[in-house]
Amino acid sequence: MIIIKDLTYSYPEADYPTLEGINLDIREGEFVLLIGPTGSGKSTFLYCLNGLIPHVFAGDIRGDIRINGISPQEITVAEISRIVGTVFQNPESQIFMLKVEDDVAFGCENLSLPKEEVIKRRDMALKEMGLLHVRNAETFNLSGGMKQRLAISSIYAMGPNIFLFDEPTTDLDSKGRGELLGIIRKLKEKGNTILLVEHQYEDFLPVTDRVIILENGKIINETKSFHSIRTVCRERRCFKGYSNEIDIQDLTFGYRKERPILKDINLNIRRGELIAVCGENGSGKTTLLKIMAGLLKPDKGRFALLGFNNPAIEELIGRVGFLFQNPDEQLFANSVEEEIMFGPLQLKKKVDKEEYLKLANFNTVRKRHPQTLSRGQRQLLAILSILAMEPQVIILDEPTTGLDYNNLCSLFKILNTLVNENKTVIFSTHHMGVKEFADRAILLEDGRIVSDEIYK
Amino acid sequence: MRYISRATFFHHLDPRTKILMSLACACLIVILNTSFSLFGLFMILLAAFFSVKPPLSYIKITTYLMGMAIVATVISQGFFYYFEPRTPILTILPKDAGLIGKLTGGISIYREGLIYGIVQSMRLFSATLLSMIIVMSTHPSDLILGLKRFGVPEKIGFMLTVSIRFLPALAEEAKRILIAQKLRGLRLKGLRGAIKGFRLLLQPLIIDSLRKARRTALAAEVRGFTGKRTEIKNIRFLWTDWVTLSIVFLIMVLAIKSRFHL
Amino acid sequence: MNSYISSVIFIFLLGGTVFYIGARRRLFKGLNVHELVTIAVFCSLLYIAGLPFKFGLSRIPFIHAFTYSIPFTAVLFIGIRLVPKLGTATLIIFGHSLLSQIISRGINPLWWPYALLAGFVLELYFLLCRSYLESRANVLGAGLLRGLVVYIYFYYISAPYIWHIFYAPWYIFVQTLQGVIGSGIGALIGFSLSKPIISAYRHGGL
Repeated sequence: MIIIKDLTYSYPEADYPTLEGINLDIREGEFVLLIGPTGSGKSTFLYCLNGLIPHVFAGDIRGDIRINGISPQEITVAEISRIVGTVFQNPESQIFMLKVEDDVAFGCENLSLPKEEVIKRRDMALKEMGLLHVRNAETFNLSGGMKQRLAISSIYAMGPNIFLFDEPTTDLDSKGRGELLGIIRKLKEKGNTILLVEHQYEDFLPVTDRVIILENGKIINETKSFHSIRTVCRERRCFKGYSNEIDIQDLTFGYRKERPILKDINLNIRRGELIAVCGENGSGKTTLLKIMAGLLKPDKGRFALLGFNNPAIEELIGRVGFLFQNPDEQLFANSVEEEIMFGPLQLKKKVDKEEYLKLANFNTVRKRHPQTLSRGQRQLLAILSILAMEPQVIILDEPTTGLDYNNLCSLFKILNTLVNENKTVIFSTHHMGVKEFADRAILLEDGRIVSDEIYK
Repeated sequence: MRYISRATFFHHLDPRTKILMSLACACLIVILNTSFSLFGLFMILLAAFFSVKPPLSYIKITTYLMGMAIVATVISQGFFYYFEPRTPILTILPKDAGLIGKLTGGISIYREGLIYGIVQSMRLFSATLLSMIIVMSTHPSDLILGLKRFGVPEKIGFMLTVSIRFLPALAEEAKRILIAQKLRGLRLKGLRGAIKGFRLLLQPLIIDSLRKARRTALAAEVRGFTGKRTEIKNIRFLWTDWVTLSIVFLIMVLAIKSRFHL
Repeated sequence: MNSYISSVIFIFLLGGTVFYIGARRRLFKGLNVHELVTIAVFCSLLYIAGLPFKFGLSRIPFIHAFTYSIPFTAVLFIGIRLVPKLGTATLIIFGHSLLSQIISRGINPLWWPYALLAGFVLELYFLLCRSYLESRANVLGAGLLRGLVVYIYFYYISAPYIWHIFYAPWYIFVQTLQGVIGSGIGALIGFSLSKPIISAYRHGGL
C-alpha cells in the first residue's frame, strides 16, 4: 500500500516546485501507468518513492509518503530497496558485474544477506526471469532487452513487492519491448505493485489498472478507461522531385566478410522523400543508414548518392548530414548558437543562424551551454547543427528515442519543412507509431528488405 | 587483449596463486643477472605462454611487442651504456664537438651496449609473456576477487569492476564522437590541431561519461550498495596451487642465493 | 636494489604523512557512491586517453614523454576538479594503473610504488596549498610537479631497477623536461576544459 498526501517537492535552487500537492493512494497489486510530457515530474515522483529523494537529491520535500506504513525519508535507500525496486531507462547503467550471474547476485550481496540466502535468491531469480541459459555469459554481449531483463532480475532477487519503472523501453526495440512486457506481466501476476512511467505506453494498456496523467507537477487526470489522447500531427505537403537521389543495387555488406549484415539490398530513393527505415535491433537499419551516409563501404554491389559512385566521406561532408543516436556525442560547443554555427564555420559557409534558432524555438536559450538543455532539446539542437550545414540529404539514426509527444511533433515539423524544401530525409526508428509521419516505410529483417510501403 | 576461456593448467589456478606468481616472476625478472638465467626464465615463460593456447592474433601481437621492445632496448642501451669498458663502434657526436658534445659527453654507439641491450630485452620479453599469460588465463572479476582476498577494500574492488565495465563503451563512444566531428567538417593539422581536436573530443566524452556515472550511481544506490557486502564467490587453493607456489618459492630462493652469493 | 627499496620506504613515509595530515584536518569524509563511480569512470578515461599511444600511433619515441603527458594530465586534473577531495588523485592514478595491469599488462606490484608516488605527491601538494586545483597557478604548479616527480622517478629508479635499463643523464633531462612541459600544458588544458563541464554539471541537464 502506498499512501501519498500533499506531496510537494522542489529541487535545490529551483524557482518553482517540481511536484505540487500530489495526493494518491495505490493499492497492493495495482498496475499504475504514469504519463505526461517531459519535465512534468514523473521521474521526480518515482525518486520520492524509492528514497533517492531526499537521501541522494537534496531539496525541499513536504507532505507525507507511507509505503506499507513506513516513510522512505526515515530509512536508508538500501533499506527501502528491499521493499521498492527501481528499474531505470538505460540498461547499460544498471549492470555492474562482468558476468550475468554475478550481477543477479549483486543486489542481494549488497544487502549483506547470508551467503546461502544470496545463492538461493540468485538461482530463483535466474530461473523465474528466464536467464538460466545465459548465466555464465559476459554482460557486455547481451542485447538491450536482455540487459534490461538482467537488471530486473537482480532487483527481483532482492525481494521487493513494489516495482518502479522509469521509461524502461526507451532504448529497446519492439522485440525487447515485447520481452519486457512479458516480464512485467509476470510480476503483476505474482501480485506485485507496479508503477510504470512511459511515453510509448500503448502496449501496456491491457495490463494497466489505472492511468495517471502528470503535468507541471500536478495530477490533472486519473482515468480508469483509456481513450485516445493523441491527435495526429501531420501537415499536407506536395510531393516533388523524381530524380534519384540514392541508388542502391545488389548491395551486400558485413563488418566481417563471413557475416553479412546487409544482403542483396536494392533501393531507389527519390529527392524529397521522407523515409522511415524500420526493423528490430540487429536487422541492419543503422548499418544501412551508415552506408547511405558514406560511412561504410559496401562489400558487393553498387551505391550511388547525389551522383557520386561509392563516395568517400570527405566528398559528402556538407552534402549529407548524419545524426547519430546519441545527441550528446554530437554537441561540441559552449553555447547553442555556437553549436549551430560550428559546422558552417568549418565549411566556411555563411548561414543565417536566426532561421535555425527559430525552427526549434531556441531564441531564449541561444547562449546556454548545450548540456544544460533537456534531452529532447539536445536532440533538436543536434539536428539543427547538421541542418545548418545545408545538406541535401539528411539521415537520422533513431531520432525518436526518448522524445515525448511534444518533442516528436517538433521533430516532424522540422522534417516536414526540410522535405518541402526538396531535401531528402531518411530516418530509422523502432517506434511503430511513427510510420504514419513518413511517406514511405522500409522494413528490414535480418539484413534484407522485406517490405517497402508507400503511404501517399 | 582479453581473457579467453579455455581449460588449461593456468586457467584452473586460483587467482591468488597467479598474483603471487606475477610478483615472484616480476622479482625474478629484476633479480636474475646472468644471460643464462635470463634466457632460462624467458624459455620457461615462453612454454607457459603456449600452454595457455593463445590464438594466432595474440601470438602476432606478442611478437610485435617483443620486437618493439628489443629494438628500443638495443638502441637505447647501445647509446647509453655507461659502464666501462666500452668500445664505441660508431660515433655520432664526439665528446668535444660543440656545446651539445660537451653537455652530453659525446653520443656514440657502444658495442657492449648493444650486447647489453639484447640481454636486457629478455627481461622485457619475460615481462610481456607473463602479462599475456595472466591476462589470458584469468577473468578480470577473478583477479579483482583475488586482490580483495589480499586485503584490497570492497569499494576499490567495486571501482575497478565499474572501470572495466565502462571501458569498451567509452572507447566506442570516443570513436563515434571523432566521426561525428569529422562529419561536421572538422579538419585538424599539426600540434595545434591535435590539441584542438583533443579538447573537442574530451568535452562531450567527459560530459556523457559523467551522465553515465550519475545514472550508474543511482542504480547502485537503489541496488542497496553501501560498501559492505556478502561475497558469495569462493576461491579455494587446490593441490595444484600449493605445488605451483612451492616450486615458485623454491626457484626464488635459489635465484636469491645465486644472485647474492649466499 | 638499494635505491629501489629506499624509494619504496620513502613512498610509504610520504603516504603516511599525507594520511596523518589528512586525519589531523579531519579530511577523511569518505567517498559516496557517486564520487566512487565518477573516479572509476576517470580511470577508464585515463586508459582511453593513453590508447593512441599504446600501439604505436604516436610512438615517435623521442617526444613520447611530451605527447603522452598532455592528455594524461588533462584528464586527470578534470577528474580531480570534479571530486576535489583527499584521495581522489591517488585513487584515479592508482586505479588507472591497476586497471591497465588487470586488462593488459599483468598484475605487477613492482610498479605500484610508482603510481602511488604520483598520487601521494599531488595529495601532499594539495594539502599544503589547501586547494584542489582552484586557481590557474595551483593547477600549473601541480602539473609541473607531477611531470617532474614522475619522470625523474621513472628514469632514475623504475627503469634501472625493474628493467635494468639505464639512460644517460642528458637523455633523462630531455625527457623530464618534456614531461614537465607536457604535464603543464595538459594541466592548463584540463583546467580550462573543466570550467564549462563543471558549470554544465551544476546547472542541470546532467
